Amino acid sequence: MNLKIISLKGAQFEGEVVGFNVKTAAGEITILDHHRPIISSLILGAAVIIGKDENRQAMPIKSGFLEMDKKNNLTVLID
Amino acid sequence: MESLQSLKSRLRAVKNIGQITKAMEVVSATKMRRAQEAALNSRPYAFEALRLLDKVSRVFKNGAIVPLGESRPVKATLVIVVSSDRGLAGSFNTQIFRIIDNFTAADFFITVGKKADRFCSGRGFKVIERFSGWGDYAEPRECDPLASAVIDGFLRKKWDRAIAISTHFRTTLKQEVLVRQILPVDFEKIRETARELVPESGRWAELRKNMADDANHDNDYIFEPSPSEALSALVPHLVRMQIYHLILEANASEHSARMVAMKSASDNAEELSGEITLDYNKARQAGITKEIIEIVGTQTAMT
Repeated sequence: MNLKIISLKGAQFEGEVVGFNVKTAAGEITILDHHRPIISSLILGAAVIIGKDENRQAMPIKSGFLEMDKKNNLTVLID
Repeated sequence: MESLQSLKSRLRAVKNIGQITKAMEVVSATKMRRAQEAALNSRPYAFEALRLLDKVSRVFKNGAIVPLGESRPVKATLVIVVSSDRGLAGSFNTQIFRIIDNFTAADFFITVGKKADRFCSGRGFKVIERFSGWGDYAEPRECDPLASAVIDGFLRKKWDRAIAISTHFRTTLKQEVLVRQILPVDFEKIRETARELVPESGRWAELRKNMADDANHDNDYIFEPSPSEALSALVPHLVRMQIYHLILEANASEHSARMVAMKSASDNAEELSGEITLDYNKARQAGITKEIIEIVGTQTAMT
């Protein structure tokens, strides 16, 4: 899926990923390819971007939102 | 005619000032470009946040109600004044202060920039918070205390309306003072703010064209924890974004106002130094002629 992480200072990450793990207000979730459309608010914690070949990249998150749409695009807004 | 010496010192002074204003002009031009770029970088965020807001608010059939959007009878008003820290920016600050005179009845003031603080304190307004040092490159994090103060006071019913007086950057040569309502939240106004994030003309203007709204009408989303919670978390973010954008725009305006003011100052200095040089040359020539006359006169008298 295509992941886009955006903050007020511009795009922080953009690219093809396998999974995205993050803490939301309703608990920790991992979004994989073709997840059902979801909108959720994020809470303080570390997000993990799982790229191809299982390489992981962590990113600190204060708060924000994520949106998965029908066309396999995941958009994350962070502070 | 003025003496050679005093002309010379005046010429030197004018040239020095011209050099300084020229340097300030160049510095402001660079800062202005940076400020515009910062405004542009925050655009994708604003855009996505608005799209999200659209999607979430569509779930509520008969209009979404959030605490920050509650319009109640106005008993107390907060005015946020955004000015610059430093002067020498033409009429940038005076324009803002002229508008403040219409709001002398407001109950609370929050000032951004030293000039606004000095003005409001001098008038005896009730300034509850002061911010400064955002003039060059404001970070979203730095603006947080301002946004939090505005939102907190509204939620605690300290004020029922928040208004911002700041400069709207239209083009480099044209800035105008706008009075905007920040709270209670009006979604239509926030949308307008997002549109304003892109300048009307200049380097970034072409982006204005490809900003068509993509409205895909499905509301088949899972909401976690719930649509209303998502909405009430999203709205404060949008208010923060709006305030951050106000600051960015004021910065771009400040620097372009200063650039224009400094440009006319250095043009003026150039003209003045031309005039003085002419006077100086005339005075010098007059001196030489006088000396020759004296020499010739003496010679004739001696022979």
